[in-house]
Amino acid sequence: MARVLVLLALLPSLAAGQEAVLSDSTQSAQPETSTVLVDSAAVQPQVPVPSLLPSAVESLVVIDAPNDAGGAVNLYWTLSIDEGLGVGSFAGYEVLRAGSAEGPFVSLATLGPGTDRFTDRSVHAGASYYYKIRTTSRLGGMTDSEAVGPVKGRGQWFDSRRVPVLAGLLVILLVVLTTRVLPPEQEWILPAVRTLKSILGRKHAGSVVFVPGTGGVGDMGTIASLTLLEQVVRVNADEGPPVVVYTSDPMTNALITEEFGESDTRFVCPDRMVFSLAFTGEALRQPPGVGLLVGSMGSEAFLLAETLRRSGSVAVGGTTDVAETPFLITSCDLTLIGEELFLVGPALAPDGCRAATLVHDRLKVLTWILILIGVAAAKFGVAWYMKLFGSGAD
Amino acid sequence: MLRAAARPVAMVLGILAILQFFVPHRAGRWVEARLVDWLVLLEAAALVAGVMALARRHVVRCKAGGSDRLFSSLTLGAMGITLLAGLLPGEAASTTFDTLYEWVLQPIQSTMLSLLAFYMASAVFRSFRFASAPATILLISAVTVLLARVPMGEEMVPRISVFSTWIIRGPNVAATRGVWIGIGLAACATAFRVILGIQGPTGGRRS
Repeated sequence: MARVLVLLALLPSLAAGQEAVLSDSTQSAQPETSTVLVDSAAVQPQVPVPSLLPSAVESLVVIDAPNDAGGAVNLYWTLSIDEGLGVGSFAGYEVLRAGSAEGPFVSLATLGPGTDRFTDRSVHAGASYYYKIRTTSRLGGMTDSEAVGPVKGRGQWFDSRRVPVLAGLLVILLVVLTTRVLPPEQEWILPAVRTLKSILGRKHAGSVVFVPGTGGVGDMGTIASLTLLEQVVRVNADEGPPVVVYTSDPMTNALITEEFGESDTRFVCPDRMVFSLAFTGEALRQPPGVGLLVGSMGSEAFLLAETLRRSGSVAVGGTTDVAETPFLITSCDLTLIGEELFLVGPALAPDGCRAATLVHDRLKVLTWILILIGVAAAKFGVAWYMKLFGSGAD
Repeated sequence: MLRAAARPVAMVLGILAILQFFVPHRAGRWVEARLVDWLVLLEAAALVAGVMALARRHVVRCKAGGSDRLFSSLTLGAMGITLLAGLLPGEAASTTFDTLYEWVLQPIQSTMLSLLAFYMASAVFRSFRFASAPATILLISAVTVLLARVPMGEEMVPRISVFSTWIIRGPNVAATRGVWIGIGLAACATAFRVILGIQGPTGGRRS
């Protein structure tokens, strides 16, 4: 029945005087001629004739995928000759895998025409595998390539795609280690630091309230806020008002309690909106003199800042969420933007931590140089330079 | 003593956390998984400590009397009820705890989020009252983007959507990337300073 259907499908070709090769569709692994070019003056130009058996792929190469944990194998092959000749019945490729050269081979994926590579991400590291590529025809025929193997997935100890990232980190490390404290007369002070100093130096009626963001202790915004918190506590330690810290993250709370004691540290709730609600209630009942909202925060930063404004407090805001920064600018008396969040803490310190600002300046100069080279590279089509700045991630 | 011992441990773990980014081998993933396991354990312990501190503070406030007694009593009552609800048996999605979440916590979250809209309106109005150059640029940009988002805008000002798209894709993206580059550099430098002990985890220079 199948042969009848195939013959019916081939009738137009046969009627045109072309010759088709019919073979048993179940036999495979034999690189048979799948198209017959009729060298006849009667047929111009030469037209490839569809066959039941597509030609097998050649040059199948199977190698362990680089830069991974050993869970992937890459397959590359040259396209079936049927694709090049434009045989209309060519359907595509099927990737087969087995644990031994004899099989049994199981199908992993079906790929369309034009595909000449595949990554098998389902291998177990250290296990041996054999692969075949099966070419398929819409007429039901299929041809398998020779089995290639064995190949093992091996984990690598270094991801070579991340060399540029490593180089960048080493440059930053070098700048951090080599930057010394400047003499006082050469210090450059951030304008935000000057403003913050004047805010903290004033006499305020209420307490100083500090919110180290609502992110986790691992967020860089939280680390930056903790750096600032220590300086705020130090400035207010002698004669300033008490510093009350409201936390939403248990780990951050534990760290602050360990450093500054439990009496002025208030753990509220990990839920951001409930935290905002509790903070709003407390701030409106007992308005603080100064409120510092610094750290990793989302939309709740704006809620807290507006609460401080409504309670008549001086508000200082800063978040690593760039989208929230404009809202803080509209609500806060002072907003720390971008890197200022990380630099105000060290800059307020009485000792060598001020070198952090100089580290940042040097890194920014380096970045500007890299950006300018990048603009020139993009202008003149130097692709390798731009590829350097990929993360190396898949 | 314990704190002094914790610093080298933190330094080694910090360096390990950086290195595992460059190691695709299973050993790297294993180290990462163990670090996360320890973090989860520490977080669970910290949560218990945080809840205990919260309860202690409100008990003290209840004992002290004053206007805060009512709020502290409510907080303690809510904590007790939630704890009991969590201990009661029941199928998922039909427990008392879930009912509390759905009928108490979610409305609280929604109420606070809805406040944002009112706060935004008042903050924007306040910003635009200042007749400074940045406020004027902000006003023009905001009105352009807002008008381009509604059908009426294109009718009123032909090709306003082109200008709006330029604002979003040009100056907006440039400014955002500039801020991100600054944050990235500062975060890397701060991380190295903390890991190497130049700067403590809560600021200050460690000698």
